[in-house]
Amino acid sequence: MNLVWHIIRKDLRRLAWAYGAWAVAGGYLIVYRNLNIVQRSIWDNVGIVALFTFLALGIALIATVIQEDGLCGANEFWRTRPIAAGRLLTAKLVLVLASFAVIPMAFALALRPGQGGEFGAIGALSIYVLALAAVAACTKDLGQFLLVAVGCVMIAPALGGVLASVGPVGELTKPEAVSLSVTKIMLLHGIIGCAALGILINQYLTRRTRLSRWALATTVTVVALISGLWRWPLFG
Amino acid sequence: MNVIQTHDLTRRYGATEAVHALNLAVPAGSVCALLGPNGAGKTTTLKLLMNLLRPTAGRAEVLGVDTAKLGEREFAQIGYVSENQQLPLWMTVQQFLDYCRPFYATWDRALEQQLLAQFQLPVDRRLQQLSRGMLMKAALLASLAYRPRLLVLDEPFSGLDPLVREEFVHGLLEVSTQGDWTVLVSSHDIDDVERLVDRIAFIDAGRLRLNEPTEALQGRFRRVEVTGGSDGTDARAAAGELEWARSGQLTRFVATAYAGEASERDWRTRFPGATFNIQPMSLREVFVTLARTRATGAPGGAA
Repeated sequence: MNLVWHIIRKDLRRLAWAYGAWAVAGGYLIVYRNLNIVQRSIWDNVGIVALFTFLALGIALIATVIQEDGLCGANEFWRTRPIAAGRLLTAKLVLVLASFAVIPMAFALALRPGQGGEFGAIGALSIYVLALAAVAACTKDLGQFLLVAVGCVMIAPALGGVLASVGPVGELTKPEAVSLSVTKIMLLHGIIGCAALGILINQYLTRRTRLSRWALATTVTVVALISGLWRWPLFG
Repeated sequence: MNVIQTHDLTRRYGATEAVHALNLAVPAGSVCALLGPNGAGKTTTLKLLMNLLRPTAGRAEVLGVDTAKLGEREFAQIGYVSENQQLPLWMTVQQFLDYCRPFYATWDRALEQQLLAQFQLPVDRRLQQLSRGMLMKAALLASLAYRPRLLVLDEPFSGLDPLVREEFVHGLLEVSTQGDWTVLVSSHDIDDVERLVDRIAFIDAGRLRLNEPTEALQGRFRRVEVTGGSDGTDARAAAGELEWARSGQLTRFVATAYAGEASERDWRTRFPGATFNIQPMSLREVFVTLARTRATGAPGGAA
């Protein structure tokens, strides 16, 4: 466990300034959105910049944390050192999930208690963080990561929309439609989470990058198929 | 016991075969040079040995473990320095050592300090601010301080100016007296490693041409000049003779299987009445002869 913390400390030291900027943006958003102590009319533009910074920097930080000890090339320093892949994966997962899912959500929810669904929100955010980490694990650098991530985010819904428009159209009552929507959300989150975890484990433990990229493409396709063609409500 | 052993190790990139059925053995305690021209397959071989690449066919063992199964325990006993390695350049030298140290139970702080002083590394400077020579020294230090059983150096001298190269070799020579380790160092230039090694493996076009102790290699290579003894019409290169050339009464060749009196007796039979000038060859001359022979595709038998 000490070595896991050793790796986490190394990444935090490496990204200290970016983490600082991201935390400031996040802190401002929490204050702005939750405490209402800032006059919105004055700070609207700052709020937009803070939100953009928070999201963009957060996504870039997730990618950088993973790619700091890269998985796609044959020249990475860590691979010829006694750093077990499982240990490295643990360190990376602990860092990205704590930094970008648990702590921010805990802060946000602490300032707005009694809203309910806290664990669901943290779970959903964790799945998005895992998905971004999985894309980062299959790509060589930040540029390639952004290209693939944006591609996945655009292709899945676009393909899903096309499939929905050509697929069978059924008559659903309103409760059925709501149930279908919940079903799709649950299924998609489950699939994305499992696929992301599988890709991360494959990349770290076997480093079969081609297989991981195929899994990524398959996941995007399955997500599009479910969002476009799934017609069976399972959850209420 | 061999610290490194490969069995028909092969690696292809598409249609290109970078390493072909390589059977390399490096005995424990030896300092072996993996020599060959640029693009011969040296770096690919070392990456296969470090499990940085997967073999297309065949297999390799390092420290008695299949390279596909190399793990924490084995890498704690292996030092790897490569010109291509992506070091954490944002770290200072001190941070780099502090980061590496906890991963090794055998890390020797006294040796670390000694090497720091010996290599004259500025501990508070970032790796990205170091010259190439200094960077290689920092990488070497971080690969020596835990006294590895096996040290693998991939073209460590490439791009270094002569002065830094000399310092680097000097440093390696000094530390090599302090430990009982096996070293495999790749280079495209024999000059870089001549003073370091006691064994040479020569690889060309992905194929291992020879692998033997330097003493044996120098013992069996001779530059031979034969004056007279034949009118030249029926003179031919025999098996194991390279760079065979005849001009008038003078015949020159490199004998690759010199066996003392027996070889000389054989030559006297082939060239009756001739005089012989038989000279030992330096490792550099041997290397150049082998490289040139392969490059021109000249006949002369296996080296």
